[in-house]
Amino acid sequence: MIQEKHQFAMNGMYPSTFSTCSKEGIPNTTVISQVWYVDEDHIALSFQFFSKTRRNISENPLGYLSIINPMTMDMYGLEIEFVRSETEGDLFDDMDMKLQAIASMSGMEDIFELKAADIYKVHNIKDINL
Amino acid sequence: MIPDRVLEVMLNGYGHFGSTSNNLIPAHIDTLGASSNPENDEATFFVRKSLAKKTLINLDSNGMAAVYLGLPSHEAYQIKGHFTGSRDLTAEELEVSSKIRNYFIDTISAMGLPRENIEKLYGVAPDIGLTVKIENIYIQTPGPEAGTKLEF
Repeated sequence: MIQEKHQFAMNGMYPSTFSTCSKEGIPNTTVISQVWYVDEDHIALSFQFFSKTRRNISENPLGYLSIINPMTMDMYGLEIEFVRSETEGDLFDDMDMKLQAIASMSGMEDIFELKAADIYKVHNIKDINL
Repeated sequence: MIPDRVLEVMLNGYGHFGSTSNNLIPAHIDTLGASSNPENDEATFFVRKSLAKKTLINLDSNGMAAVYLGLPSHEAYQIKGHFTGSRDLTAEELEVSSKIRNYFIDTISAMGLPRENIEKLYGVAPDIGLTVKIENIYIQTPGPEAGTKLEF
């Protein structure tokens, strides 16, 4: 499912956009720093804040993510579903290190803190033809 | 009245327009500028119709909208409301969009990314406006105030 061309859009250089919705169908859209390739069917998103996104996912695990290759500006839309959170281990440590690098580059060292690596199953990926 | 600071970010920043289907599958589309009528708390967000098919289907069936508004400084707000309709953009709105898209192209290309590729996203003019009656506004700037509801 996830191909090499999609992984170029997950390097954290260009922000990704993530939408969720509550069980009442109220959407929420936010920008996220990090999309992490886990395997060909799964990605991980950085959980940094206790947010509406997090509450929505607890009610309705379905989300929509768009990612952009910063060099080509090729855009992809992913339909994803929350699977589990990890708060320790290699994946968490790798994401934490990358997040600190992103925070340092953007002057947000005191704000960005990884609380968990949230793992999502990718159901579908589509090219967004600009 | 929409707070001045939110208007500033709405009219000068970037945005993502979120919607959801009746079976709770969310979607979003990038906005390419906005205009507002602060007195009745409405705002119109400019998008490309060719990219908005799913969004328009969602809005027609569900009507609920959420728009992320942000600046490169990370200052951000989330507005929530109901979709009230779509319409063609005025010449003045297209001029507003042209200015902000050129600003995005200049800003992103200054980071070393290829200008001709950035123009695929920001070089094409929007051709439809999605109008939302704003009901709630939340601070979304990362930090301790994130999620705080703004009274207006």
